[in-house]
Amino acid sequence: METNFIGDDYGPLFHYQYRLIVIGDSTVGKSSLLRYFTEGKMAEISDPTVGVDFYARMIELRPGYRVKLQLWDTAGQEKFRSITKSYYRNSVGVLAIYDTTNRESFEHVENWVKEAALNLGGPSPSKCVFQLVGTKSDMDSQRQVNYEEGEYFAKYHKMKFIETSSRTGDNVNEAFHMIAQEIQNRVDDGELRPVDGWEGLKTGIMRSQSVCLSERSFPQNSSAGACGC
Amino acid sequence: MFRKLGSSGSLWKPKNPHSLEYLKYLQGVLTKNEKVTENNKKILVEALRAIAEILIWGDQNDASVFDFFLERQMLLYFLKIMEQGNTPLNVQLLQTLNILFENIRHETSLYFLLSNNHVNSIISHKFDLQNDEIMAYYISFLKTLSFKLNPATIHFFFNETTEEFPLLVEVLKLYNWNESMVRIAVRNILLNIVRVQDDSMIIFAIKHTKEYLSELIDSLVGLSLEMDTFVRSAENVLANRERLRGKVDDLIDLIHYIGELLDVEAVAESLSILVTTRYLSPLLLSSISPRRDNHSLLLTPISALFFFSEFLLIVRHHETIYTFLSSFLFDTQNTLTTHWIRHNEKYCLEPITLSSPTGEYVNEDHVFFDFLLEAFDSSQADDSKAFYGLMLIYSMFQNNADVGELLSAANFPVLKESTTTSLAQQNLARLRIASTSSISKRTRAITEIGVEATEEDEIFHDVPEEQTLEDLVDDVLVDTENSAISDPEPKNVESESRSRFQSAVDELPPPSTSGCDGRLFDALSSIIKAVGTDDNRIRPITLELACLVIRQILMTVDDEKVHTSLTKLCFEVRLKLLSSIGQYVNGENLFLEWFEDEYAEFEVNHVNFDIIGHEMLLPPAATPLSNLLLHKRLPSGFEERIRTQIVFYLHIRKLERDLTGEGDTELPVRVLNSDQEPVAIGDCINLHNSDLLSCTVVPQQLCSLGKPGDRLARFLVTDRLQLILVEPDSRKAGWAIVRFVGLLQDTTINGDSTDSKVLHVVVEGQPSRIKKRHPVLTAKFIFDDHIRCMAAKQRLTKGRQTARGLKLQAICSALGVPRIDPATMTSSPRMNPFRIVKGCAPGSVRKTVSTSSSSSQGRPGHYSANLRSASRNAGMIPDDPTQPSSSSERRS
Repeated sequence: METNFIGDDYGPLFHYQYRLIVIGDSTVGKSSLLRYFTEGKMAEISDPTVGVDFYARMIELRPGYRVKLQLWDTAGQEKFRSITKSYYRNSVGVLAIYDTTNRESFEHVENWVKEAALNLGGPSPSKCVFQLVGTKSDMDSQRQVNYEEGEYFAKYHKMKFIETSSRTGDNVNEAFHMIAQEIQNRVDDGELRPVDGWEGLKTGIMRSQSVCLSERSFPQNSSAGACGC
Repeated sequence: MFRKLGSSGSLWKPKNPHSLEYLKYLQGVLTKNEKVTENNKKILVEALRAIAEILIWGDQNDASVFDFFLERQMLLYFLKIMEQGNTPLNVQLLQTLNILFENIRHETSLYFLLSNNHVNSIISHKFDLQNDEIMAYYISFLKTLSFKLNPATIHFFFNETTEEFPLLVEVLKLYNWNESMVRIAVRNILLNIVRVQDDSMIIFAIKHTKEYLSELIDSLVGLSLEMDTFVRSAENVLANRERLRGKVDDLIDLIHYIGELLDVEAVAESLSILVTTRYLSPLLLSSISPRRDNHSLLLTPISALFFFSEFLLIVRHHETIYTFLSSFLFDTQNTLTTHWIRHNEKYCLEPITLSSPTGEYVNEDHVFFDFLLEAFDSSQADDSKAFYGLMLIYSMFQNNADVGELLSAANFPVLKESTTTSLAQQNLARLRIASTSSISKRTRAITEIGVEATEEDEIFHDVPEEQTLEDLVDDVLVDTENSAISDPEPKNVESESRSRFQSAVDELPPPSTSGCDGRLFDALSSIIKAVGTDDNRIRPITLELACLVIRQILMTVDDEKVHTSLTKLCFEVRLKLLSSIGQYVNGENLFLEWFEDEYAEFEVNHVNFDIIGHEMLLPPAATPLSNLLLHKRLPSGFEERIRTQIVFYLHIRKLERDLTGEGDTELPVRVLNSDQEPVAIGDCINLHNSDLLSCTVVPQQLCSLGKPGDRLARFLVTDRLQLILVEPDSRKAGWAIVRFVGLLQDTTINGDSTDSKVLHVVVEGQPSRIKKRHPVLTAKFIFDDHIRCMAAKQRLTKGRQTARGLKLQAICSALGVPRIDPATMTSSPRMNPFRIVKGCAPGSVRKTVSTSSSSSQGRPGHYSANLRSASRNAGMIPDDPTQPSSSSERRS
């Protein structure tokens, strides 16, 4: 239960918290990607996700600068489409996943992206970050979608692109760093900002200077630590 | 500042229970106590309780709280605790989950809780359901979940590929649970499930609920039989009515539930077949046709008619009602192929084996419908059958299943747009006029002062269309023209003799669409006729319902013959009733009160089957000891018989006037105060040259003047009808402001034995549809001296007499009876109106009897003056305990 670097009882320390949503056809490997990222190892083959699942992990964008990623894993099955729809509103980033060994899943990406774009929320939905991720890059023999095709699609839709393997762990961390960095850039440029009532982007909690014994010393949502870095 | 908590050594308990920190603390408690032991049980229960509270708080106030719940995957702790099977913890766990699912507002949070089969594993967990507490929370947890079902969320619960649906499967196991709360919850949950529109789930649900639906109908059969047994054997006393009410409520709930299920397309068809083949046909229809097999379980006709009506009033599923009603209206007894029998304490549905064709039954058409008509036979011992027969006809009109075509095919008068003919509309218009005029004349009559304003709506509660009078008249005119064009020449001799409108009707195929089965009308008329006979056993409510049904039929039936014969009948019956009440108008001191009370009662619409439906099931009561209101039982004693006849008279009078289209200008009775508007509270009146008596009014009860103990300086004035208390207007000399108005006729005055300057005055308000007669002023009037007090007493007493005389005069002219001054009448003795049984032990009081029903029948009312007031309170007489019979004949 004590997973991935999320702080101790005294509260995690981070500058920002980004909420991302992971979408794409059923069986493209969304859950495996997330599990590798949060648990650091290859996951067993799992049942299809029923509804939604939740993951979180802290990453360091540069030394001393940490952001917390909250990740909504969604079911790819059509029957859960209306359920997963409600998770876009409070997301700042979208990871659209396809399976490089499954042509159809790549062709569906356009629809996924379109649906996401329609349902995003926050102060400036158009500034939310999209990233295209091709999975199962280790299974070259069964590849049906070339790297270039993915790259071209991403470029055309102004998205970042990366291919990953949740078996070897190739590019898994990089994929998440990539989207986090892009969000950070837009935050730094002022294109994205936290607002009340939107969970996509939040300022983090910083440990105050003094050593303290009670929870009172950790002012929540203190924006003090969020700026100077 | 911080409290250390038992085994969770290193945990500090934050002070604020509504904070993220508190949830962190609670999570710590859960982590440190993964294994449930005797020692940490209490702490864990409290932690689970607090978690629910803080999550709900967080849901509404602080999103980071639920984030924490998500990040730490706290739901998994719940599951771990659940699997350890500790009863108090599981009770709390189910309660916590219930609170969470019921209250979480963010759908993303709700969906997360439902995701990944956690909920399904909780549903299918083997809880100790024999434990009442666990059961209560478990079932309400399931119910809460079922309310979250919709086409989107159904996939959390139903797995199409693995054919798993724990919610449905588990809940079906409980449908027969011995606690009714659980059974009702199961019904709700199943209804919520089948209402979800999801094809593959529905296929699964239909497959698995087959047995349940069949059992459901059988439980309706069981309940019906059980209730019928009770109705057969119980006496009409309050306790039994209460018990019956419970049973009826259960039954009606069940029918409502079946009706709701029938509205769900997914199960409607199979359920409709079940309800028809297991309940409607073998139980209800069998019970209203001649018995063919000695073993058949049948209901009494009264119960059968009652259930039939309730079914029609509640269920609106077209196919079910259509099949049922067409059997009822057209089929022969051959349609009944199965019957219920008792087999080893259980009810079983079996095919009827007709032993021999020599059986006595005749295979007649409309055997069921004929049965309904027989119910109205007024020669019967009581009117219960007639009442429920009326209820059935009424509910056929009220039914929402759109079976109008069917009813008109059976010559049953229904109002349908396509067949509404001009004459019918004319009738409608005429009835409307009657009703509107009866409203308009009810302007500020002096009788109504001092009474809360009566509502003017619902007087004509059975008008089905919201058309205004003008519209109707227009329609009639247009239709007249149309019919003249479409039918320029009458086609046969017969139609010549009929109205022009009628010939238009004849063109409509089939020709008799808007007709009414003559036998039905005869049956209804027989109730009216019975009311006019001495010794009838009709209760006022039955007559009221009959009038309602007749009016409804007259909306559509355009047969002049029917109309005239009914008008004639009403006229005859009214005269008969008048001849029996007329003789008491002048002789009975309290006739005025009786008439006014019953008029107020008559204005109330009592036809509300939620209330009267079951009150009439038990054998008719004939005594106020039954705690039933007079209009729902037979009268007991002289006064009640007069009162009942007054109500009969009023109903018949109203019906007659509706038929003739005349408005009633004389009722409610009014006495005009010399063309003057009556005085009302707050009015300013000129008292120049009036007789004023100064007094101090001390209210004894809270009233519009003040509270008990107040001492109010007022002046007492009277006019012909009213007692008026005024306060001088400080701005205008000779004028005064009215502070209280009451009717002299309802004023009682008593002297005070200890103080000769004091009068005790009670003024009652007039009875109305809403409120019965009740004191509006109970006060002590203190005068300056004895003489003035005597003067006041005299004036009030005299005024009361005059006012009553005037009012009675008005009643007399309304009824058409000559008014005779009682002073000129000689009173003659009458028999003791009740029988005294010596030595009747307390507690052995049985049914009381309409004591003087036989003894005073046909005899004019010569009653001694002092017994008159006594008879008012002499309604309750213990009967001979050894003679339970209530028939008066036996005693004479």
